[in-house]
Amino acid sequence: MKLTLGHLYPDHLNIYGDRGNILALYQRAAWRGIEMTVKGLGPGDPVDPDEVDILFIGGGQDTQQVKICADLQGVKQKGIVESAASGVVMLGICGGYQLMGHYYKPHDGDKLPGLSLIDAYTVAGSKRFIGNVSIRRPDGSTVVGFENHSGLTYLGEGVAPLGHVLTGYGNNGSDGMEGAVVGNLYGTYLHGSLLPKNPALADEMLLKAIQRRYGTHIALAELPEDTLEIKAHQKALAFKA
Amino acid sequence: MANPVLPQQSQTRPMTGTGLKAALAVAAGKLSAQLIKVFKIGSGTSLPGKVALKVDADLLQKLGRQVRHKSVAITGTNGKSTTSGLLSSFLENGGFKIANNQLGANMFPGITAALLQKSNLNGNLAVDYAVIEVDEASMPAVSKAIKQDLTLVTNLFRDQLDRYGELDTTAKMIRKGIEQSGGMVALNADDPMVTSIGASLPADRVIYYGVEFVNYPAAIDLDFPVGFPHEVTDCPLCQAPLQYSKILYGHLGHYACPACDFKRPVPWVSADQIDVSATQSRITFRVGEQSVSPVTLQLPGLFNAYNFMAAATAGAWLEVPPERMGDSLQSYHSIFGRAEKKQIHGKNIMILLIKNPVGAAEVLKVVTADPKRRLVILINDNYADGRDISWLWDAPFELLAQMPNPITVSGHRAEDMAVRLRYAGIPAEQIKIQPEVMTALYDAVDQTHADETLYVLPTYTALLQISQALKSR
Repeated sequence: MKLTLGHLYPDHLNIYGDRGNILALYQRAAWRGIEMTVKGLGPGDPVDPDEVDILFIGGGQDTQQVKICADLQGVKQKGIVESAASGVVMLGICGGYQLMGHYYKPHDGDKLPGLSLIDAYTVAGSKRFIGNVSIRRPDGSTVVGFENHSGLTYLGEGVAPLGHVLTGYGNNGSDGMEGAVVGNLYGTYLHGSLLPKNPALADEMLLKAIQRRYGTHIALAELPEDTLEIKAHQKALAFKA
Repeated sequence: MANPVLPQQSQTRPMTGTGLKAALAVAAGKLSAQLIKVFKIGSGTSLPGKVALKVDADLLQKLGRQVRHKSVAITGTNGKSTTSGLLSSFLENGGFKIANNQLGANMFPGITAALLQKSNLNGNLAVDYAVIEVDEASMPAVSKAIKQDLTLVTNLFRDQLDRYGELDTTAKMIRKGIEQSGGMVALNADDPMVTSIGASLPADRVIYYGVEFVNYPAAIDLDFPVGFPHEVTDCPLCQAPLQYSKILYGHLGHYACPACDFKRPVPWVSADQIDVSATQSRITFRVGEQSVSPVTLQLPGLFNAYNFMAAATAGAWLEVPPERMGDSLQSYHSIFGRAEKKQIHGKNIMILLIKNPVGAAEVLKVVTADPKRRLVILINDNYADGRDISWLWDAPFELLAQMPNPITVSGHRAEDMAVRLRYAGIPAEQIKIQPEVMTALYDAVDQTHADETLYVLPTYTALLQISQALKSR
């Protein structure tokens, strides 16, 4: 079996070890005999919904994020929206998460439009939220990571968060929610990198991607060697913010 | 720009009294340094400064203005300590008295501590030169207190985003420091982020250094299926993507903007050839038009050759004869975790600090070049390390996939490091987690054979931990 991961703006949005998320998906696929191709999608490159199984968009420095905005709304928009509609798995971290919502409103200046894939919006905050985070997902599992953002993200009515904050700030530091999940679309502020230490979440995404392409009867093999990941995850649960 | 007009070097600053308050502050600082030494609390590198500043908040200013000849600030992401160590040795070998902060305590209190250590109890500082490495974020405050005659910027890489914020912010802080000092500026011509600082300064205030050609023993393949992000290489003036005719490491190289006039400046001090081997570099360089006999630097890696070039540039501006630079290298001992060599239980140890992706990449190249290598990696996430360890995922630990023996990981984030190595393709059974740093180090020493070298890769506070423990052995 083969999967293709489209990495949006790898040279512009890659600030917080985002490579680790792609590496986690790549290796966890490889360890199960699934061959993954990682395709960089920089400015000018369109997104083909039939080609990609997973889309990843990370966070960048403000200047870089502004630079890709026109391309995202132009060349990329149609392909990403169609991909999302056809069940492609998409993960957005930090700035990438903000871009999956309706808009980002800076302190001064106009709103930067997002892709409106998730019913959410972000406004610039006055405080930077920096530190370790742990959250509990609706199914009771935990996710751990590190956040560093000043944007405050608010979810629309009925949009499910990735989880509820146990330690740290999350979307906006006030409503106790972190991230968002809509179908196969995931947005979160957590890096660390996110997926290597949260192997269950990585596998959830891989499973969705593989089932979309090869049928819902497919299951992912267990990886009994995951002890290091689980140790790191358990230890991070005890970290202070 | 090949021959900047150098200002007069011989002028001596007037001595100024420091007053009773400063003397009390110095006494308090010195006393606390003694207490730290006797009771072995903390590292003693910045606490005396904190104590003294409580007594006299203007102490750094009062001490700084007593430096007889020149004050040099060295800042930038990587290479500050080695560059200041090398420059200090050039000056000391000329018989000058210098003050420097060799233990890397490079924020306001640490710098104060370094100067008060060199002053007498009346607060009189009898040094010819101050060679001070300054934390990038501390540049505005430190440059306000000490007017630097020369500010040298080594490079600007992505580093500790939780502390510094983004790279543009770091460049801004350095610019602010330079504005406050008003002195000369020495910049790495090969780093476009650094040279952008010079673009806004009058040409007669800036000197550049750079590297023309590097000879490696073997090519290192960094081409992995999941590639590494590139540093920002857009033109800092007009934002068009820069075109490189040569990349030396990270985003250092020979570049030009296709859309505007921004390009690599012609270096005043230039390395025409650097031959990098596993343990040392041979550097052929010139100052302006003047060729210098090639020198041998007993430090591994191209990044250290750059540190020499930085130190040679500051040295040349301070009118250190080039021959003395080469002579100084023969007796130079690497400092405090920067390719620091040690013997423990008769085994060869080399300590190489890691703190950000580009620096770690260069260190990993050094480790990989040695077929007789053992490895222990110590990762902490204290404030001084950067609390965010996501940078581990941007450093090419994939280079270690061919390690001939198990790798020991330790520190507060040992488990994260272990996970990083597993995803780099190292089998889980080849990764040993030992939570306690000194136990990890000694276990690794025991396993190291007499003909091998144990490479110790600590983050900053892990380096402090092992240095203290080894000192009090």
